[in-house]
Amino acid sequence: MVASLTCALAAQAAPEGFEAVDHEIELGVLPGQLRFDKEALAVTPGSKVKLTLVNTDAMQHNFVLCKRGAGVTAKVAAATLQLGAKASEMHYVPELDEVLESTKAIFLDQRDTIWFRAPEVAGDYPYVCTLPGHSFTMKGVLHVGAVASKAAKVPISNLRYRVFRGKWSRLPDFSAMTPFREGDIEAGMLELGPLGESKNYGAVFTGSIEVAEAGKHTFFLNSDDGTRAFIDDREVVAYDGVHGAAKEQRGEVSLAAGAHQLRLEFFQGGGGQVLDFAYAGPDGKRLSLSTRQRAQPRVTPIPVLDDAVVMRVHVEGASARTIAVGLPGGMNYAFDAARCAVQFGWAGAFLDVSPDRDGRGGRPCKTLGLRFGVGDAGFPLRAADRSERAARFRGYRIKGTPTFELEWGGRPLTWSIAPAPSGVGLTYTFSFERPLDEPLLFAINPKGLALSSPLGEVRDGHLEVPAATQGFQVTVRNQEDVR
Amino acid sequence: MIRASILLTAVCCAPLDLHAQQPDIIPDGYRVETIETPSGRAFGVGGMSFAADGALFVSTREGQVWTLRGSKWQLFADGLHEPLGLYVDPKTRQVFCVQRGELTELIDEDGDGRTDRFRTVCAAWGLTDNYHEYAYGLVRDGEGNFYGTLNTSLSWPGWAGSDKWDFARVHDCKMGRAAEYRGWSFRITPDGAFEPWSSGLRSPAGVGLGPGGELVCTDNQGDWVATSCLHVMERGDFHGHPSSLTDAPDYLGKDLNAISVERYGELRREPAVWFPHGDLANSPGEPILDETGGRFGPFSGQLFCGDQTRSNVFRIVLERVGGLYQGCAINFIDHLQTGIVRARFARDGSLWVGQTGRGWGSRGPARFGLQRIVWDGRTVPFELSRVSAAKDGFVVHFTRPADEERALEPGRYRVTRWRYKHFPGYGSPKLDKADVAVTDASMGPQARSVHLGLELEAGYIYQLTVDVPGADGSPLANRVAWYTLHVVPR
Repeated sequence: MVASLTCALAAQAAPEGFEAVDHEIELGVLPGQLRFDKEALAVTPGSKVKLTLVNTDAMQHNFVLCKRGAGVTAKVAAATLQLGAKASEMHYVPELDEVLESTKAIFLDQRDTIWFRAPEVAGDYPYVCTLPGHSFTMKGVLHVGAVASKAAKVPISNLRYRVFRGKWSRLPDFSAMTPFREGDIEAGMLELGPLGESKNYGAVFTGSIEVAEAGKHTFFLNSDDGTRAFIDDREVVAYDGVHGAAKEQRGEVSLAAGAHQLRLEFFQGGGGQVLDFAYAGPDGKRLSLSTRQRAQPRVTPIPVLDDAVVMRVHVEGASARTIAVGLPGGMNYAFDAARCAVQFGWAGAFLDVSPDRDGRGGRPCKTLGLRFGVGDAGFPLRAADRSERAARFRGYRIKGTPTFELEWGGRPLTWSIAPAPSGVGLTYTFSFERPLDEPLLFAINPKGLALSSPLGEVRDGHLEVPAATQGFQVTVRNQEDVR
Repeated sequence: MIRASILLTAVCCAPLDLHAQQPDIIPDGYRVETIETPSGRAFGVGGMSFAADGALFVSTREGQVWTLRGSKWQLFADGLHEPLGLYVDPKTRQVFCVQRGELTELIDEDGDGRTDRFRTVCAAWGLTDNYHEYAYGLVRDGEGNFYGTLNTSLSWPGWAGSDKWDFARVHDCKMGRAAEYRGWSFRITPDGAFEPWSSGLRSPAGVGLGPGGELVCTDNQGDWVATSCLHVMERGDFHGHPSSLTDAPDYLGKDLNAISVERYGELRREPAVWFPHGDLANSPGEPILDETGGRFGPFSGQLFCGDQTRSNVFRIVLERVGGLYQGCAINFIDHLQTGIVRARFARDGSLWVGQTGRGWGSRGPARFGLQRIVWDGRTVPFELSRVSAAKDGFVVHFTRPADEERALEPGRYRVTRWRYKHFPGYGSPKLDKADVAVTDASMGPQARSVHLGLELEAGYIYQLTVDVPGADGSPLANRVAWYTLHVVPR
């Protein structure tokens, strides 16, 4: 771990002409969620840009900046899937004109830096991670144009954070540690949300505050867990140790008018996390230096790596007997074992199980990607005369592609569900124990779907399955309903 | 230096932490060992079962099943829905678990030690996303039938979001039935047919078998449950919590609110043994029968049960008087590292307790865990073995001879009695509480029992506090027994 970190941190040398750059960007990843930590970046046209991708996720990721235009990222992602065995050595970046810049595909705790000139033409340029399935949710926009001047008046200017991982009961000496991640908060307000962590971490915020009037200044501090604040390297107020945000602390210091250096150290163990910081000048008027507004809710994602993940849990907006399945490549679906039907799919990361695991638990888990409809109209097989027969759930197998075992009208059958070969969707494979002794109908609600089958044309959501068939496939792609 | 590193390795690999904090109360001859659970994993124990080869299977509230062989944990299954019951068949080696929504067989088809096929045996009961709809188990009888219990749904009036469900609230109770067979025990036949077994349960967190093969379960104090208790469950019984009657054929279409509180009291089968709230148990888990034949000490044939809140283990001794089950409950070990919901005896006669502290307050501070209680095989502690009812008082049995002189002093026995009421409120106060005079004490055979003469009245809980040392001067580790008296022997 230490070795790979050191290796990953070994500085990459800037190419000639990029020793000094106009924009330095660090782009991170939200662990387990198939999302970049920043989904909007901004640079000026033709400027020199240094971009570092930092991977703190168990999955491999890259950064690919694309040309502007409708469907460009989808085209790039689709071309990636055609790379086959070469994909890995090509870092999952296809040779296409649409690709402007790209990093390597990197693993956990690695970072990769690229230097490039921003496009001369102003506009919004999409970026994605092109690892299979990631592009549905792992994307953002690089805005090329006028960039808001940093000189705008903010409560704390040049506010920067450094994040450290570790478990402490009191504030450690952060100066002796290597940060795990760092970045800027341009809004100039202390905030825990951008740190993207929920437990066992520490952070050091630095920046400067402008004091209008000389005299006695009071600093107010409340936190969960420990904090300590310094002005010009002198401690002004502290609330160290593991605790809730139970009691506001205050400290007084006499300050000259003008700029003063602020440093605030914070650590979080488990449970709630809070940081409230404010000050009042000689006029007694209280001014907040922190915000809770964008604090991110706690997320406990279940990663999907090489094998499908199959979980019975309560999922928001799904049946109580849901079986949630995350397929490798970022396609997921919710199967209802009560009705033997796929309720919906979602593209992106799998599940946030914190509602089920925190406290008493038992609350519905959250899907982490973009949900799409699959025309759920119950179990999709009908008799040829369109009449329904009872389907019974018998269980499932998880080796390879997860496969459900069912019984329909006394007939044993299996239903396996894989990602569609391209696009947002699922491919169903039905297999019968014996060849069918009668024709059947596959029927779902076709609204917003593109349906296809090697067996024949799917018309208005209906596919005729002739007698003697022992198995057939249908691919259900979503065309409009991604939300 | 080399020596030190070897030592370190040995400590890291040791499955047992022999330096575990020992409980406040523990009888002589017993010790508690803490088992290391899989590192980095939340391990809220929901079900435990020993396989015939001695391997321990544990299901967790986080949806996994682990096996422990020697000191090595291996993941056996994942992705289950809060499995709170597990059964490994000693003959067929089949592994069954009860999830929130179904009874499932976990099958390792390719023999790599991991479940790859999940076979649904039965999913005939109702399930919503109400967090309190636990399913508990798992007991199997000689014919291959499974038994378990289904928790009622949380329906606290005014609780945020509770109007989402349709509870059969009866007389404004706090728990209700939001889906079929909530508040029932069930039997599932070997071919998967669901048979509702008994109704009127509230939060029946543990199922077991009594010394006579009786099907028993515990229930947790709350609305309609005066204090936590042990039920004997026979087919068709109604145990007192009414909203489950919605699914009883005899009550189809009836307005359950039109039946009076008093009438529900008459209709119910009273618990065999009450566990006084705050004194002995607040949220009991699984009762397990000591069938070790004495390898766990002098309590063979008794039931042991852990408590999730109090984090203690206590004993229950049943007797049948006038056709009804009644008996006593006595504390055993108090308290362990966190709340106990499951308990099983290993082949070596040690008692393993599965723990979870999550969600409800537990006296022990750990979030989850696994501990085992070991008897040294020699030391018979001086304890109250059991209390039995006589026609004119109680007989207090000791595990070994008592100090004869002191045992015959009636003043060394303090007896208090009270009763509970059956009503929709959250737990019953102790009603009509009064001291009962012990008029005489007479010695039984070998100074191992004392007959106490006192006036008995059916329908009361009797608390007996005994201040008698052993013949060798040893004090009792647990001095109090609570006897639930439904019938005075004739």
